[in-house]
Amino acid sequence: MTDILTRALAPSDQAIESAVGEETVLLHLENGTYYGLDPVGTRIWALLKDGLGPLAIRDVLVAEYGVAAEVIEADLRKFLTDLHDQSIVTDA
Amino acid sequence: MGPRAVQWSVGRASNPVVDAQYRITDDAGIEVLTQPRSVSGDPEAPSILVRVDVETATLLTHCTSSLPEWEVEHIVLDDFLPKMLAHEGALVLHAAGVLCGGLGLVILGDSGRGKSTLTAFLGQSGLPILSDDCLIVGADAQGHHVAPTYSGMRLLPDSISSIFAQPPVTTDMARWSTKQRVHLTCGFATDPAPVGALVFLDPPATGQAVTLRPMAKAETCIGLVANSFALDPRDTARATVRMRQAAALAQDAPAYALSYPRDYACLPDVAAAILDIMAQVGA
Repeated sequence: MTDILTRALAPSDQAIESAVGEETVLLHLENGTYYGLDPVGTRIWALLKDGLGPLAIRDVLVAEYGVAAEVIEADLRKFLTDLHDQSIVTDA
Repeated sequence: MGPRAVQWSVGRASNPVVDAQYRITDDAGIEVLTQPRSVSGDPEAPSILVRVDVETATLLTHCTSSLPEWEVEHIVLDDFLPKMLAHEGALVLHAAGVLCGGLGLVILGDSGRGKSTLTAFLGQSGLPILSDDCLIVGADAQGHHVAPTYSGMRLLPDSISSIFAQPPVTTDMARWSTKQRVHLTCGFATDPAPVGALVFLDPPATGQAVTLRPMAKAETCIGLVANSFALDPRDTARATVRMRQAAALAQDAPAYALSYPRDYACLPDVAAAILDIMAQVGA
């Protein structure tokens, strides 16, 4: 299985969202799954919507949060895998 | 950093006791294609035609088979009406509510969690009842407010005998439910009320403690959407509006997850905990 960080991903057209303070709520219309994103998850979602790939998102997060790239990668990999498993993001 | 995506898998917003489907007809009528669980598979499954007379604010119903009038009433009032109001753009919650110090306490939770029982108990404690099942949410410059679709109360026989000192007048609600429609002659509030707090009923607690956990805004928003009515939950445009409405309400009103043992003897403690919450929001 290809590492999800090397794949081109995009928000599903079945996912709708709403901002709630610094957090974001996502709903997948087809499968009825809801997600609540914390502020960091919200930032990643915004970058995905801007068309950035996972590795570019990693670089942005390293710069913004000052955390080691390998830590960011591990968290990002888990986060994107969760969203991909629930079809909130799909392969572009 | 740990980006966090908290997942909730919930059923689609609907009233699970009525598996009705709706179709808007070419002549602006609405056909209710009704298939209650007890009669699904029945070749004579009833169909109800509903027409809305805007001039007189009247719902005119015509049933194509021998569905009892009280079942038509249940389907129209408790399933059709909330979904059509939602279709027209309102945020319509599958929720009960009472008035406390002039503020609305909104009680949400899956069917069977005890919304009606708790509401009836609070009503018998002297709080005016907004609804036992459905509230329409509105918003203006002053904030959010809730109003009932209609004044009504439906309870299981066990709740009726445990909560009411004097047996109230009751009638059957539907053949596929043991709930009874309770005919109360007073104790209802019909005017819109500002939202004071939201309380989500958790599954029954195993211990004896009554707990109220403050909920995050995102969790609250999801709970509101999950407990809202929709004619077509997959209608993207309306679902987006519903999400925004729920997010705004979640921002505006404090929300709590309420856990308590489903023991009638605990209801006074539950009521006391809720009144404490309402006192904190100025009720």
